Amino acid sequence: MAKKKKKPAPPTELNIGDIVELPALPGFRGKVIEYRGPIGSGGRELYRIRLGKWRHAPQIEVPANQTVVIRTAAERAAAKAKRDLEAS
Amino acid sequence: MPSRALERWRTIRLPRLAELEEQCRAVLAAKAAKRAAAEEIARAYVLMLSGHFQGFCRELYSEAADALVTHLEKARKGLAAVFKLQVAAQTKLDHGNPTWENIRADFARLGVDLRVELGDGPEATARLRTLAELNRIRNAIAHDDRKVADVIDLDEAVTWRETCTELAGMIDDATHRKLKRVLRTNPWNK
Repeated sequence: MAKKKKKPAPPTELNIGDIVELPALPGFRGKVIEYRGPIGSGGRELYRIRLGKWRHAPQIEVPANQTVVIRTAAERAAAKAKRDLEAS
Repeated sequence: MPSRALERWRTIRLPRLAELEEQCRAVLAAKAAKRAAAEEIARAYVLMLSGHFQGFCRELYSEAADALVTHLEKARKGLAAVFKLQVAAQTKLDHGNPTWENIRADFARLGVDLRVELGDGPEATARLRTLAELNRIRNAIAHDDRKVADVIDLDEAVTWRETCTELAGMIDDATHRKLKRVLRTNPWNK
């Protein structure tokens, strides 16, 4: 029997610039733009996510465990540096 | 029971403002040559006061919205997510100053009518006038309008801070009562 692929554990924290998906909102993908602090219900830490590339795209505030990281800010920065290097 | 936002106002924001106030007073007490520096610190104090009050209002709004959302999450995660999108969309306090109109408009989205909570007595009118003055001077400083805000009276700025603290308590209390009625439990579940 084929081994079941284990689901990645939800992140406990996010970084500004991470690209995430929200399983509760299928099809939406966004960028972490602000850490709001432990101000959520029961002290949960909230992050502000912008769901789109344009400046006035809809935003949402969620705890990290309700997101799935698609690409971290560090990975994006590394990819951009590589692109810049290739272009020069 | 106060919200986390109010606790942070009391334990983080007010002490930071007090520290700046202390520094300003120390510089003011020094030689006249340092007067210009003291005035600049006083101007910074007004900007910080306005910023911290705006920060408090934003935090309380987020905390209240999250209290509602966690209850929805128990029933329907997708519905909760859509609700979250709605409460975070184009809030006035994200971009605008903490004017009474902006604060009222944002909290009204959660069903909290701050106009009713504040009342219309002379005390309420005085508080709103003070908040309006704080915002007027804050804008003048931010845009370097010396005609409106040339010399800042630190003692007057301190009374603005006291008014902000009173308003913070009132907004917190009103939000707590409204959410408690809706959720039938303490919204600041700690």
